[in-house]
Amino acid sequence: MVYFAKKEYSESEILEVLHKDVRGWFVKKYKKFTPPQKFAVKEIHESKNVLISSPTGSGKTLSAFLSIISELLYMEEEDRLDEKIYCIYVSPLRALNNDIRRNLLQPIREIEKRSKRKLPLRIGIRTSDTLQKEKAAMLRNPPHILITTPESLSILLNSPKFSEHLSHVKWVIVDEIHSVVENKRGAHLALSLERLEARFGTFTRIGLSATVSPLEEVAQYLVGSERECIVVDVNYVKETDIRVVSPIEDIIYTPPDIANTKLYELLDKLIQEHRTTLIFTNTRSATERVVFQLRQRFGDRYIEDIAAHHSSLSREIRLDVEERLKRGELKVVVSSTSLELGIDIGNIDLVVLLGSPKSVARALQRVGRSGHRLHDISKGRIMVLDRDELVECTMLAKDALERKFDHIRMPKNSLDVLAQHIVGMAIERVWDVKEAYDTVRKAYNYKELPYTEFEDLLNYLAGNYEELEVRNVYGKIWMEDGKFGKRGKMIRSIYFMNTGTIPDVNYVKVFTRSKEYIGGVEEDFAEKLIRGDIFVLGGKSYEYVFSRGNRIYVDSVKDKRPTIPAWFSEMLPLSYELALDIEEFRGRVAAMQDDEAIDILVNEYYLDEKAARAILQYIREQQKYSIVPDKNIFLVEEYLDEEGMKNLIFHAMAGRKANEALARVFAYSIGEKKGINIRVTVTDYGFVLTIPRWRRINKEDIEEVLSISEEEFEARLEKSLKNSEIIRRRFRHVAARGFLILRRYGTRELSAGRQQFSADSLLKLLQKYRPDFPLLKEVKKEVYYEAMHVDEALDYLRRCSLKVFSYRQGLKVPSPFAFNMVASGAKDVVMLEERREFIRRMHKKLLEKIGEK
Amino acid sequence: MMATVDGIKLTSYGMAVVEEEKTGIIADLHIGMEEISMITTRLQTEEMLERLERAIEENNIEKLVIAGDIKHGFGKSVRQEWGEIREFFNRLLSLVDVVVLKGNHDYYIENIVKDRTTVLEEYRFGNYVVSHGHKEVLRGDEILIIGNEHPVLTLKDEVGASARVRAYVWVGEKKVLIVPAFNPLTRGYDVRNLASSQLSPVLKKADMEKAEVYAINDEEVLYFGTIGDIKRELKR
Repeated sequence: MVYFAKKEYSESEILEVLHKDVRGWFVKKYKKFTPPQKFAVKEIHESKNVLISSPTGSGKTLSAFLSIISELLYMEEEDRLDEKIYCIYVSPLRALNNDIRRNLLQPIREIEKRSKRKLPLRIGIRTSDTLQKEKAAMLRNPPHILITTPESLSILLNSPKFSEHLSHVKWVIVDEIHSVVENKRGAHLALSLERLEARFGTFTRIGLSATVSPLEEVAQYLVGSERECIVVDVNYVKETDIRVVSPIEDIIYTPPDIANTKLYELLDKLIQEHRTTLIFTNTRSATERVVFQLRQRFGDRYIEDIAAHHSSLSREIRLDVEERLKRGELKVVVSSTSLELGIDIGNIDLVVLLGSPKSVARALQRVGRSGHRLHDISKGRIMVLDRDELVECTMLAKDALERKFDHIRMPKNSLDVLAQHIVGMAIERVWDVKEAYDTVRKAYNYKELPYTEFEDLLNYLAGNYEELEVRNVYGKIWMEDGKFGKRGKMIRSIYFMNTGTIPDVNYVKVFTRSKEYIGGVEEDFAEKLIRGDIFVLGGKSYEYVFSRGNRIYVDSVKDKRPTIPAWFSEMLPLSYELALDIEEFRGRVAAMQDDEAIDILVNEYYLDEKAARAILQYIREQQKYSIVPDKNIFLVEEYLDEEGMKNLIFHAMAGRKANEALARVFAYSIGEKKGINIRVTVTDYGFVLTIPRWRRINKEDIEEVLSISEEEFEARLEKSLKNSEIIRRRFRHVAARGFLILRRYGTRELSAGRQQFSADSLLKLLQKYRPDFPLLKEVKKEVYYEAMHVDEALDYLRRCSLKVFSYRQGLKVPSPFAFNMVASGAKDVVMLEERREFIRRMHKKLLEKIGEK
Repeated sequence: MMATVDGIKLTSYGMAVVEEEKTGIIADLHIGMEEISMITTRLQTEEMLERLERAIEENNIEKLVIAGDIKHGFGKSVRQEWGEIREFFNRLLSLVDVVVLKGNHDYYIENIVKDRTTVLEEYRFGNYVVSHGHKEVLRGDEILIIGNEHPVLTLKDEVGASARVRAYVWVGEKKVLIVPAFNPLTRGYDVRNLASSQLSPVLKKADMEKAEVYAINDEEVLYFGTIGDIKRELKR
């Protein structure tokens, strides 16, 4: 049961439960409680589980610690305070742990000073960075409050001696909980918490979250499927001001170099008008570019007080930037995602978003970094350079101001993560299968785990795949008479070395042939390149020439389209809800008279008149040339390009993740019917299928797909994905997480490239001999619900089947709405021909050219 | 469709056959690569054995020459290799005579297969010499059959669909036949990149542009012209 906190406690009610030293210090220092403290402190004191969502600067962390420090002091007075860990503070960001300790030590030192005695409270940090001797010291002398990461917690649970110190845990705080609920780290942490509870009994769970939706779901995640939780949501106290701005007068006809100059002039103006500005870009390379350009263009103004902050920079540099930011020494900081999360970064009064943040939650998260104190306004400006972005960000800003959020997506029943924990549990002790199953299902992510899936996983881990004649599988556990336990001496070290959910990535250096260093690409990406491929790095195009060792060599090229699918791109996908809103918005504006439209855009969508006119003109152009696809019309255009290829442009406003699935199913269906292979280009706004020019695609060929059932959709998707790049990559991740491939063993470490190689061969064999293997199921799930969003694709397809379908053939130029789709996007091929036929066709083609021998 | 070069039959199994001598030649089994690659299942050796048994039966093979790289790991053998190579030979020797040639991965191979078969550097029969290919071979006008290069052909069409197939390469100028790796899991090298400078010493100064490619497509072997033809006409 999850419910929202209703009772705001009075000052005296809260002060009454605090220890006198804490009370005295608090009243002196803060005088009044902040909104989250009024709701949460007393509940935590009463050992209730609480999820706190509140803005930066609202005293969220202290809400939790006021009760905990008080409680520890009461215990000391009553002589009940042992040498044990009482509170575990789980932070997903290892880099922040030192700040957390500092923030926690500060009140303790201040209380000590006031009460003129040394408090007996110890605080420790334990992560993968912790030195061996520090760990040993901690074992002898455990801290009362332990700060750690989800990964280190799971290792602690299996550490034979140290785990004994966890026997008295009364509180677990999960910080930045919104950043783990949506991924497998979250599933991993949820199981760790259940294992902790199964072993040592119940504790109070406290979650600290940014604004995400729905918070009830996050609360469920925090407490698992059977416990109660109170949600404290006090985000309403923060005032937010978000506007879309365009640096150029004429968003359509301004040449790119002028637009660029205007962009930096506007940035400079905004920075100068504010005290400290934080700029977010969507990629790491753009971050560097913005810093470079600002310095280049306005050198005298940005010498010492500008900095970049992104995850490719070393930890020392990032810490230094954060410190300078906190001390107010920086005028402007440019970041990608790295400053989205984390500790208080000081007094920022403006956030600028360069380009669309693609989701409402992310927009609010970023803008929320400004407005240091609780009652300051969070001020954000989204800067757009093209018309699609203008429309998109207009809608996004409106949704953000009205707090209309995209929904979180939580991974459920992740079998790879569960495999790790089963091994961990087996190392801990002998388990009854049923008991283990019940424990697992207490984690919210596994609430609905079918027993058969659990059993299959045990069978895999126990090496019980006899019918397959898989010989010599390293059994990791034994299973007999409804019980299981660990097998072998090595299993403990395998677990310690391989646990965790974040896949390994190796980087390969990219040089031009004149030996100029350009940057790094992922190893998997580099391995796939063949001579002549063109790819984008740092915003520029390069043609791959050759590789040597851990380096690849390229030539710089201009005006050539990239040939490599961008699975690896850092591009953020547009959320489904926002995509639907944009679709509806376009239709709504299209149906209005000019004056009415301008009026509404200015008044309801907070635009200036210049921007309102640009949007109107954009939509009018589309109407004149083609049709505006909206919630009633589904539009497909056929366009013949200069390269002599035919392109079917599907205007599917569903976001990239849904379009990944839709595009493949359409490509598969049409390709199968015509016996051809199809190149697929996927974007947030739709997808493009590319085929040879002489192939005819009729209206019926497309309509047939619009009416297929869910089962048929999934069946076709599965076939289209067979042996695809994305399945291969994801299988590597899943196989490593599920201990099918060991990333580290003994002194050896397997590079990401070798892992891929091993994964490929395993994938083939398992598909052939054991298609129902649990980790194969997991790959499918991960691809369908994480890499793609099949549920959204199905929803969109249902909407389309109810729309009027318009098919416009023989276009020489794509319609305005299609420009960006044709120009960019991630490309891949759906191969429909039988492999054997494909090879024969290529054989024939060659022989025709060289003459039969 | 079956291909032959200079009287040698190129089977779709990846085994070259000299019919009048009832001799089959394969190379590059790389047994143990699963363990080296830290995969925790073991299926490949069984798959290779089954394929080999069919190839032997269909082609009436009485003598099988394995042209090197039976095992995968350099240096001391890992556990999987010992057991699997022994079992591999037990089953094979019940069907045919086996000649083992030493490859560059085959340190300590003698210890593993001793009292089952002997290990040679090269093997001569009729007008043929077989070796792994990583060392120079003295010969007159005999035909030389080698492995070691793992040739594959990558094919790509206009929309970007692609496939990789294992291939035989016949260097007529030097009378050398390169057989594909029998283990399909091994990393392959595209024939377009087979430059004589990086190849076996037996191919020194050969004009690889003129070498002919025979690719394995399931149960058939297709002639794909010369490496030069492929480079000119088939984009990658």
